[in-house]
Amino acid sequence: MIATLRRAYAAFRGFDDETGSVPMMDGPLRPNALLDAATVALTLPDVDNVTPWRDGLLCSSGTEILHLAAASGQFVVRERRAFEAPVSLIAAEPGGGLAVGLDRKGVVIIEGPHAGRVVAEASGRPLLCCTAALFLTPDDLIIASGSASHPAAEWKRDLMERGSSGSVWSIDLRRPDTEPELITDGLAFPNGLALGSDGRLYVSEAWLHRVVALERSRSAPPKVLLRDLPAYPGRIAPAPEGGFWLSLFAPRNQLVEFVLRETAYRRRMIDTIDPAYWIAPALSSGASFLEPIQGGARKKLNMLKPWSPSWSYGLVARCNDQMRPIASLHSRADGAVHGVTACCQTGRVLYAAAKGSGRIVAVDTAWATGARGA
Amino acid sequence: MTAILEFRGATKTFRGIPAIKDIDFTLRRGEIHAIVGENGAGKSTLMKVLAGVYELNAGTLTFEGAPLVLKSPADAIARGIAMVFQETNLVPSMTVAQNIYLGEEHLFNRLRGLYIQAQRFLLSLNFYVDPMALVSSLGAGKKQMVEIARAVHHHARVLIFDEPTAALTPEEKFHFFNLLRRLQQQGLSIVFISHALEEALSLSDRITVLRDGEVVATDDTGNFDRERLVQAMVGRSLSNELYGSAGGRKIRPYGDEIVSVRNLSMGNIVRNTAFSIFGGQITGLFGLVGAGRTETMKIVCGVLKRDFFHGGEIRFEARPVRYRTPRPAVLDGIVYVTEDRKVEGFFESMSIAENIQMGRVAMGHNPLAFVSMAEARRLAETWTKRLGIRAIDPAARVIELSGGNQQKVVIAKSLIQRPRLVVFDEPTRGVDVGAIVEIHRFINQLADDGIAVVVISSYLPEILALSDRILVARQGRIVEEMDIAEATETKIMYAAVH
Repeated sequence: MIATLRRAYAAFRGFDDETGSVPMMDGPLRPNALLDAATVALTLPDVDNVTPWRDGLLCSSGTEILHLAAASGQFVVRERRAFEAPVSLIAAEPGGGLAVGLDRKGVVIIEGPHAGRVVAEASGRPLLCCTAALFLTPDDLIIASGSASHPAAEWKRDLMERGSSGSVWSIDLRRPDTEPELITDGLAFPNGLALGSDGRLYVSEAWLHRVVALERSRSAPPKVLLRDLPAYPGRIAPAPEGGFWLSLFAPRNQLVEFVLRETAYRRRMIDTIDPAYWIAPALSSGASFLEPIQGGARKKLNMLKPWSPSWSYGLVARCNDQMRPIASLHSRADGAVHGVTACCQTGRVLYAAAKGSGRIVAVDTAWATGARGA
Repeated sequence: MTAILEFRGATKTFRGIPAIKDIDFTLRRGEIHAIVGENGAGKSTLMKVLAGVYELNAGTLTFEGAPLVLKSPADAIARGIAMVFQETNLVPSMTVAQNIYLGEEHLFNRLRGLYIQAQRFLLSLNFYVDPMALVSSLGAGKKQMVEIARAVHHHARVLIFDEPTAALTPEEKFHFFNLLRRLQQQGLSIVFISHALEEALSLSDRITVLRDGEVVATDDTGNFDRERLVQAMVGRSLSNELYGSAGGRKIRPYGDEIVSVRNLSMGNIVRNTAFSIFGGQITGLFGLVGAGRTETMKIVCGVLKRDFFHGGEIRFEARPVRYRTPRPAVLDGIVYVTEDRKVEGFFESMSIAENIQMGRVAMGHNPLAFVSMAEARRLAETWTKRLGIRAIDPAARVIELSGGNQQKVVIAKSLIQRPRLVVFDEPTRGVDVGAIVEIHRFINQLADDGIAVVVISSYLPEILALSDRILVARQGRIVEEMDIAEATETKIMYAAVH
């Protein structure tokens, strides 16, 4: 009776719903400034998809992929390659295979034994939004499709429309005529893929703020490994010492959670306002006075308070092999490494690509090996 | 200084077992004399003999040079010996003035006159307490002031305090110590029993150490240090076991998130607070009295209810929960070990076995409420052994046990419920150093077994010695989180105050 009354009141007022709160960043996700303190290895607009490749790194920037080589602590661009559409993913395979995802175009294999192979459709539907891919073997590729209706560049629209049309596909590259095989669908923007030590696929499901484990057979339902994240999870990269690095590309926000429950308001916002100024998470913020802010208390003496609510944030979590966070690197509201969409570790150095801030930062991982549970 | 009272060969037995034996004790005129010892050492028994609660079986008491036999507390008060107990003996529904003059009422009483008289009297003692305030509305410190005022009003020349500072805030303690010094200057002799050794060392002129009902040392305070006191109390050195620094021990990793508290509110006491608790580690929760620590955790445990509207959210193992009573929380595996064991922790007239069994009954596994006493006794034996509960008689009522053993019974009663989250609220308040080590060892064991443990404590060395992670509460919110590796007393206190 009491619960019914409370729910009725909450429905009438439109809030006080128990689903409206956002978990706080504490414990292993306690804020710090490690990303801001890291060395800036490269400054590049829209940098994304940082991946180890041969003796350097690959990354994407808009419609290009770049091969980077280290030179005296900084990166220099060794090679550039342009594509017809924005690059949405890069997946490399130690044997030399390289797959590139293109927005609205699907996935193209550009290096390795299957070079030239294009996967543009799955079960008759175009792969509009390929967000992540993973080579299980040189011949087996797993592809995550974030949305069936929006390209990867329009991720914000997919979130605001409460999209859950994401899917994960498996493709046998040996047979040129085979169709991708569906592993699971109905996911809320799968955005990162990794192979767990137990042989299962670990998939980050951004709009549900969680990471799930998938059996490669279709029959088993996804099992939640990590839930209630305070930010939207992105790509997952394996750590050489075991475990994973999980990039979280934008923070959750109570106001956004509220807007996500207000269908009429959201509809009008989508129809009438430029996406850059939506009440929605962002990869970078603070550049325009037109952005919605959340009160004048965000600044004091013209300094942005690091703990103030912001639309963008920088966060990389170090997880153990069961996907439980054990440490994290942050760039807080006042930081300059926001919107980390991908990261990778080579040797003892973690490279984090902050798409929002347009830079790759390098962090010595020695601190994380000393972290609890590492 | 001459002696105001003296015990010679004092012995008091219960059921043939001596609680104190052959004690020689001298209290000098105008001195502050601290009595320390483990729980069960006989401190309270000795003082209760002095306060007229018990009579000696053997030995003599000399007061002002003449032999004295006290038949009742009233007799002691009439002679000028007053005891201020751990739990104040005031009538909560009466005003301060009525409590001070309790027992001196006339057939017709003029309240206004009584209040004026009480006001004058309280001011003469430098006690700023409203004589018209109801005692139930006073904090622990002010209640103690009223109790002292009542004793002074009865022309006490010897004041005995049993654990006077256990319920006081640091600020109240400061005022209390000043008050004791003022009373000392006025010529009163003061005996105080304390488990806080630093207080005994800083405040008293002389210290007597009791162990197993016997005096093991009496000396001027200047000749004692903490190490010597502890050694005398427990017969061994505990310096490495008690409040050792975090540097030498392994800090436990974060386990699964067991509890996630978001925007939790309860009136003005808990204000929009948020934090998480992880399994397999000890989360220390520090804050000054009134910071809302206890209330926050009581809401998590279902003892208190959060605000009906906008009260926030609690997730236990990722599931939203809203406990309206403690029972569903207990059934989910959440237990709360209270800070006020005498009021909330146990049934004082029941035995150890019955109390432990009550923990089981609370789980509701037995809908017919059929209790097998044989099983209860077996259970009690197991837990008595596991926690090292020491009692003169296994069938003894819990009220007859020492503070440390009472606390162990409360812990056993909670742990029988096989919890996944245990909240210890001031687990070692009023517990002697020997029992503190045992309780700490047990709390550590729980965390090693993967259980999420929260320790609320006002004692910083305890927080630092036990915790893997520290949360600091201030004004109803968790304001700071620290890893034990970076935490220091200064940092924690700064966060708690600023």
